[in-house]
Amino acid sequence: MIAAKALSDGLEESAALNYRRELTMKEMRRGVLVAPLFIYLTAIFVVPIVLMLIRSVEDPEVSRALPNTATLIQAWDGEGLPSAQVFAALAADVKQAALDRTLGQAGNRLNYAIPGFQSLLMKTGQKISDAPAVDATDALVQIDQRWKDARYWLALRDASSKYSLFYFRTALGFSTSEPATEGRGLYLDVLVRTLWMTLVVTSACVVLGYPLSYFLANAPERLRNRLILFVLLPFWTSLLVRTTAWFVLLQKHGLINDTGMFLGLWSQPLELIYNRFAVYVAMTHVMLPFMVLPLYSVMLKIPKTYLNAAATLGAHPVRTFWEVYLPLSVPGLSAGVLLVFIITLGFYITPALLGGPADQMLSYYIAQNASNFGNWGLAAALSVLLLAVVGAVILLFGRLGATATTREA
Amino acid sequence: MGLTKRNPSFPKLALGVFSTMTLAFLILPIIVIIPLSFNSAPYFTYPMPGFSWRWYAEIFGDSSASVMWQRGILNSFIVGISSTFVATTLGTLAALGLSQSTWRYRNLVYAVLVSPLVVPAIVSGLGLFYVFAKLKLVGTFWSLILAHAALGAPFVVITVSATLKGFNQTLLRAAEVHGASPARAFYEVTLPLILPGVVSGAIFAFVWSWDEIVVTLFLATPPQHTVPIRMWSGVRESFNPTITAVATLLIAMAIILMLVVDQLNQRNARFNSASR
Repeated sequence: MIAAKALSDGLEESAALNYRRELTMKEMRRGVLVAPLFIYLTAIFVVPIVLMLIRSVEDPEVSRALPNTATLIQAWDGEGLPSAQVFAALAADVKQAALDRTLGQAGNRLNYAIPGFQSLLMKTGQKISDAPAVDATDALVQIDQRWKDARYWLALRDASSKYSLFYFRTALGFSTSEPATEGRGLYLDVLVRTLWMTLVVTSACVVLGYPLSYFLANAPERLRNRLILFVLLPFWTSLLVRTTAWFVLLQKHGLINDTGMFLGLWSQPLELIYNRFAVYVAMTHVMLPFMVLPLYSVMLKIPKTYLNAAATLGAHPVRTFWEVYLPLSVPGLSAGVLLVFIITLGFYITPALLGGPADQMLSYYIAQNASNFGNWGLAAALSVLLLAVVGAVILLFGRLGATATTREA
Repeated sequence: MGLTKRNPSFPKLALGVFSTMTLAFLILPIIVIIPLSFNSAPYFTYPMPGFSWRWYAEIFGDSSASVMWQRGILNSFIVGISSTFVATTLGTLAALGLSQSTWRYRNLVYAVLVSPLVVPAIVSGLGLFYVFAKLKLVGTFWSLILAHAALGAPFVVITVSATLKGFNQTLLRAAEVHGASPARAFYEVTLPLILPGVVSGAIFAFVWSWDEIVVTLFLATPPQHTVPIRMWSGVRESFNPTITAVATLLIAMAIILMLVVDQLNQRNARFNSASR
């Protein structure tokens, strides 16, 4: 009896072992299939983006160009002016950096903190070699009175470590070294504007998309299959083509203005383009299929019998919709909202072509800082913010989706 | 709801009107641009003074502007076809590996595989430019092909995974039992069944490449400029009806590819119900 049990246990164990080995082999074979794309995307996509994002906390220019000053100034408590030792170090560093041609980069970085710092530094670099080598403090102040201003020294101290949160502080609108200057808090406004515009477009897509999906899903099959092409064609048409179409329609002498004036609805061309209205209309047009397609496919699967059951049990159509249909369509709705929301957050082309300066979204400022101003640190910090918002939205929806499924189960 | 056939109720009528207007909002902006591309005068409104092919001649003629458009079309084909090939090969393999796998880190792997869909284009463009510039790849076709393949691969993973969901695994076991090698089973059983998904994914990746503009703006110099980049600078700098002609050609391409994918989806649905 015991022997038999031991034997069967042993057999079972070896069978389990075999099974597991087979499974491991299969899993490995699957891994080998996934590996090429995984490695490709990690190398070509993920790592480059991470490297770029790391730029947001790198702050190497000043400590590279002015190494001794950078070390010494960190001991300064920020009261009054730094010690004479720091002044002397700066005078020597600036002289050397002017020779090494690294002064311009340091000046460029300091200019982000206080506009005009670069020219101060370059001027100092030019004149310092002629100055008599007596007292460095006097020599610097003689070159420019601004060296008596603690703000410049605070900005210098702020920029003296290799890594800092300077670009994030700039992005979020609080800066330690400077009092309120023009443009401060600009990017915080842009972030709020981006979220607001995304919210408006997403809401417009829900308002237009939900009834349309309902209509399509409940239409006779032949009609439904024809009409869904009206949603699919915009989905397949190039974003630029659709934006161009709105560009043509909304122009001063475009189709909408001409038609309106022809019909006598208005006598002067309306300002339809280069404003928020144009951006909202075009972005809603671009995103609407992303709302309708997931909603429609979920609604198609909602059994009509459920609604009939509710009606038979005496529920008012409104109540049937509210308590039966709507909850069943939530998976499609949340998929659509998530898609529209995260894609809209990153819009760049449509606002750039159809909007005015006050209608640009975060992407525009990221591009502008990187390619027009060469301010990669700030562009990277803003990219981190944009990605963080996208990530937060996905996590939020993941959580919502999870609760929805548990409730369903 | 939907029970009374005769006498359509007011809510039903309102829904019909609202939906028709929304469908018009979706389709009309795309439709009105097509006749304008045949306008004999360089205006963007109706009535048109006459019919003309002149804006198409601007694309396919031999002026310097035409050569730029033709170069753009050629570039879009070069980048589109090459990147689609890479994306489809890698994406199909990955989808096959992912199906029914039970690794602990499956979700993490999947997150990496679809990350190009989630990351805003501007961030992708900046990141790729940042690294490709250091590798001296900016301003080469390689940079565009590598980038577009990365951006297109997730579509292939998703469409092929979708066909594999309805894939009946017992068919593979049957092939195995009857002595087929794994390779033969793949070519004779798996591939024909997942082919609609593979082709749909490839078309998605190709269309995405033709539509891609933000990442391309960062990576391309004028010799690699694709059709969307030419349109982008055309709209911004000197908007003329040639752009409506290009747009019309792109709409025609969209219609053809849309119908192909629609057919494939229907075929896939039939296959799935048959293989069950």
